[in-house]
Amino acid sequence: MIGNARNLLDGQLLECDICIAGAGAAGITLARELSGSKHQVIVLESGGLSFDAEIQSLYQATVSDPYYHDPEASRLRFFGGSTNHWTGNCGPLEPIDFEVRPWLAHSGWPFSYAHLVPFYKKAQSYCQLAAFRYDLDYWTKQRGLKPLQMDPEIVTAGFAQPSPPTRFGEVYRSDIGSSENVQVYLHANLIDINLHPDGSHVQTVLAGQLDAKRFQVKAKMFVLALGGMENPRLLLNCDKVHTAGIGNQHDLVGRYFMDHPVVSGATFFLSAPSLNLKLYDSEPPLKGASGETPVAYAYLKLSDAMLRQHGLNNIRAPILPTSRLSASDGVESFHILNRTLGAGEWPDDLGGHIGKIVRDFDMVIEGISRRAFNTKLFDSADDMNFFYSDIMIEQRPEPSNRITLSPERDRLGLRKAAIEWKLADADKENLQRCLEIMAREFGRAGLGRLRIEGEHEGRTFGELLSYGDHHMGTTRAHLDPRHGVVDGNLKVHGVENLYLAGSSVFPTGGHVPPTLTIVALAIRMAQHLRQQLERA
Amino acid sequence: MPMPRRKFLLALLGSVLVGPFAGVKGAFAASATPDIRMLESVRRVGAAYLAQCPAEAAGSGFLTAFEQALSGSTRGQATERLNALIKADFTAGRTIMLDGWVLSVTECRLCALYVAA
Repeated sequence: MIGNARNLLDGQLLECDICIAGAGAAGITLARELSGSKHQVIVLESGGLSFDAEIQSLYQATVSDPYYHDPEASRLRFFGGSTNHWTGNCGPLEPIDFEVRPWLAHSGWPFSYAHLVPFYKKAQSYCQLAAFRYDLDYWTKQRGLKPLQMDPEIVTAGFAQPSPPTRFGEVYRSDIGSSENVQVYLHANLIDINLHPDGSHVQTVLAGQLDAKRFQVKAKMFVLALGGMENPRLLLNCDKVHTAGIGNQHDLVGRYFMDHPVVSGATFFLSAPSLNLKLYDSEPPLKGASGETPVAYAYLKLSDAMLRQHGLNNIRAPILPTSRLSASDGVESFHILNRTLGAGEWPDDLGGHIGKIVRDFDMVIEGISRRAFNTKLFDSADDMNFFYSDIMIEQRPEPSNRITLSPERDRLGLRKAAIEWKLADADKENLQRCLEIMAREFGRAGLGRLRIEGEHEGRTFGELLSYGDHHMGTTRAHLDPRHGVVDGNLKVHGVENLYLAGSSVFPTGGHVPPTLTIVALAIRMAQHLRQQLERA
Repeated sequence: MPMPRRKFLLALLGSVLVGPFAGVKGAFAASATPDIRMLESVRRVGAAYLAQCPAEAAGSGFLTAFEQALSGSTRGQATERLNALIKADFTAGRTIMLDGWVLSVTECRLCALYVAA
């Protein structure tokens, strides 16, 4: 059933076996997995069935980095959560991502890739994907296409499967709505978590609306599935018993905040323009050679052997066609001069920038004409002879990147999130080293040359830096409570009936968008919760 | 009649260089005046290489020895040899980054030869 919490009485107490807060990919998957069981489930969703600006504004937060995406815009707060605007890029983390990597501090998951595979397989159908296959042999045969011929011990192809994308709120609404043991309450904001006075377990949670109406839910098990920013924010706000916040006895809640930075980091120039790059087309046809749908597309990545040998974290480098205008050095230099001189500063290498503008003068004029007069001058500006790569980086877990609470409160009385985020120099260096290895292999294989885009006057890692909006790591999983907020079952250390779902539990994020892993972990958690309740 | 030295070098550049030199190949094959912008790239790479590796600058004899290794070859033979050298450079990691391009040392030396010619 899907109900409206506005119809509840002020002060009403609801009871169930499992209470889930949040109806995004994790919460909806959990609820659907528990549907049909003998356990009564209540799902609390802050929003309604569609966007509401007033509710969305509860996501307002302060951010230290002026270029980091606005947290009010990078998430969505209604039934279906951020799947209501995700792009659908799917894939599992890789086996190496689960390992303790000696070169990467704080790496290592409490379980292996192999352990998660059965749940990944089931997660595929949740995201409306094809078979759980992400290997080169399978997809080259399925699509009847060859990859670029490189040494697979150095550079290899990874694969992503595009989800339609699945809007979890729309696709699974009828399933959830018709469930006899799952009750969803829309317009139900989680406001407080009431622990037993000894702090050992959750007794009830307090929820309500902006108009001050409140109700409580009593359950045997509680799950927060609020997202990578809200999970820590709620835990930190609930400080009546544990004064540092729930699960924060070792000052870990909110720390290790990670995203997937996306850098236009490289330009490819092919020695033979006739090379077939269809396998790398990120908008593949809906049917493969054998007629199945949908299909996967390839990107470049380093082999595990290279990562281990050089102590690197992987990157995902798609190969995307671009125009002469977009690839123009002169246009880039024009932007730099425009910005720096406009701000009354001198850029580094003024002569170099002027030289590039002179050499690419036709493209600079073209860019100005298009922007100022919406007029095209040179057809050659649209020649798609170049390829570039929007590279997704695995960001290392840094304790200084964190979500804390600002003094300012939202309309529910909760302190707002304050986000400290910075891309470490070590991450930039890691990107450079990965690209150098790729460039050498590209040259050795006779495929062409690769140009590594350097930092351009603070632009590449500033205003031009993009993000996956994948909020991870803020309640990391670790078997040892000194190093993790949740244990291997994703239960909060020290609180016997409180679980966290979503990417906040990721100790590391790989170079892979997180949704498929979020769903796989939710399926796994549903199984665990059922087992726990049956044992009890 | 043997091809003049500078033209021979230009022919080799057109045969083996890719990446920042896009257009050199096409311009030469058409026997037209080489694209000024692309030749400028060759000059920039050559000059930058010599600045990075002053021991190989004109007068050191290094470039002369490099050129002598190619002399006596037909354009086809020299191209084949250069391509092998370039591949060996990339395999061994003998690469240099100039203006963001990751190039083999042989490519850079060829550009330096053209600058010095």
